[in-house]
Amino acid sequence: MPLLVAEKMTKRFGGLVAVNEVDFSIEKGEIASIIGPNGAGKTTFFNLITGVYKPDGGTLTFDGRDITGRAPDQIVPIGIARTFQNIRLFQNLTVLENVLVGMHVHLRTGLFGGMLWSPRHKREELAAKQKAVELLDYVGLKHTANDLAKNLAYGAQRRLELARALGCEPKLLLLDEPKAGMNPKETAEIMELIRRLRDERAITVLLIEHDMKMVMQISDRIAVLDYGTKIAQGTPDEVRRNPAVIEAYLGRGAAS
Amino acid sequence: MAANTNAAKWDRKRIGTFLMNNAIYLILLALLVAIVIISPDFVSMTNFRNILSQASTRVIIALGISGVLITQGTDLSAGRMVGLTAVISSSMLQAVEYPYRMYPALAKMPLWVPILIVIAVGAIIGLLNGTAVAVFKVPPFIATLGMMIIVYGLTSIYFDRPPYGAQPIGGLDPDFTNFAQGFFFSGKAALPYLVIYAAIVSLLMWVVWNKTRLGKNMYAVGGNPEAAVVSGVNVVKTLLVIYMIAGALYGFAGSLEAARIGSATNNTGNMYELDAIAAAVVGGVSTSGGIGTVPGVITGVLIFQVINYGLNFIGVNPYVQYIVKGLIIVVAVAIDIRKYLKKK
Repeated sequence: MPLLVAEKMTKRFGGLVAVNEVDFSIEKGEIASIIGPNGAGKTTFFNLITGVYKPDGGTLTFDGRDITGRAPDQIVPIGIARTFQNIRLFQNLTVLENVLVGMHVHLRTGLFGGMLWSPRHKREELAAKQKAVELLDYVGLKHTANDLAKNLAYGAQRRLELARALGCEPKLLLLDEPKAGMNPKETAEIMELIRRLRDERAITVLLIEHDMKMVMQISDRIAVLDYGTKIAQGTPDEVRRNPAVIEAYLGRGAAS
Repeated sequence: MAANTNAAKWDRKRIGTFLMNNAIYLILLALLVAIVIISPDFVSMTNFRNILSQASTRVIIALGISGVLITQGTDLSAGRMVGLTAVISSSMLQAVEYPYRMYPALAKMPLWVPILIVIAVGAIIGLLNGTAVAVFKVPPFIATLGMMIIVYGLTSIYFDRPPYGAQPIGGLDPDFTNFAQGFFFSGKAALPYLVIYAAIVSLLMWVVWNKTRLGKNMYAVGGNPEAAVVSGVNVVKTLLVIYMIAGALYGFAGSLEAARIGSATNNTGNMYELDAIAAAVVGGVSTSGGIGTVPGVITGVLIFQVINYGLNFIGVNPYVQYIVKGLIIVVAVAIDIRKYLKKK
């Protein structure tokens, strides 16, 4: 059963149709990628899925539920989390606190529980903290838990973003150019991490990525956007051989 | 030899960092020392108690404003809201025998009724501020500037009307004035009630800021609104509630100010927001958002109040005091921004 189904998703900015009636679905446990030239509407499509933008047309179904037009604070708790092309962290919070913010969407204690130091509150706080440490360990940042986020190296900040997204307990994780700005060693590590997320944690992953080598290696399925329209979809091999893709994305030269 | 110079350089750098991080405290400490040298009588139990009482309502206001500052907002309407709520609460709590009552027919009322009413009035106005900022995306400075003027208009309409016109609302019920002016114990150890109220509010806000989801969301929204959104924080709701809590606190502070002073006019509370913002910044609340603690805010208010009271005590010309206060605000923010820039 598909985890996410987008039907005829459309988003206009004034006269520009940024995403034009795109159909897209992703199966549970898949690693899928969206590729396309700059300005093809990839990030806009992500923003539609995560509720940052409201669609001008089309429907979005997640895990059998209609989530069209819902706001991010409603979408995150039901299991969609994302990272950004440009890192968005709480620079002045510690590494651990960054992950905890993502987890608080699942906490149940309200004002009075917090005020009375209720046992449930203490239990939840402790459990959240343990979970956060475990996630940091998972992405290899446990030793930096108490450092301020802004003091981390670039690659580590990206991994922290991943840990924060995992703190939201996603079923579907959207990664916007996860390898942007990374060196080859860091790229290999992040690819390994993405595979482990799927294999060990059963998280379905959808990524936007410019690095074709990485996309071809890691994806089960690829969708190609160009000028807001989906021009192809298939396995890496199918996409690689599709003439329309080669022309739009790789340039005419690559076709020959 | 080279190692020595390096160590010296490093020490100088560390001292420099220390000076930078604590510059505002050092400047204020120097001011305090100057005050004590000029007038050694300044160090007395009475002065200490007066400073604490005066600081109490200001702590409550500053905590409200600090929550808003932490979300990258600001609230210029705080002082005028204190004025409105001071006028409303005192109009309902004039002593029955007082001949110039605003509502001559009004029966004696239990204290908590008007106090709850003005807390609600503050909360509603705060909610309107929050709506302008969070829903209609009006920059907080503009939204609350507008509200400041609107509330002053409302206060003046409520205040300046027949039969007595624009007269200070005085003759307050002794129960009410005692609520703010009274003491626990007596003699040297007397502890003003006001200090207790400020302590309770501080504790409450400490819990909200540190132990609740709302508080964590507040820091998240202020630290990085976009990261907050993707972490599933409801930014609009968080802002609404933070502005509403701020309004409720101004409402409570307004009733306390009226009772502390013993009367209220439409100018009660004028410019309190500036003192509160200044105190918050001195106490380490960052105007860039995301940073600030309850103990910091309390420290900021106390420091500011000591300077205020001290300058008065040694007889500095009130106009000069304005200049000093203004300078403290600008210097405090300049230092705060420099800290921020440096870490980037």
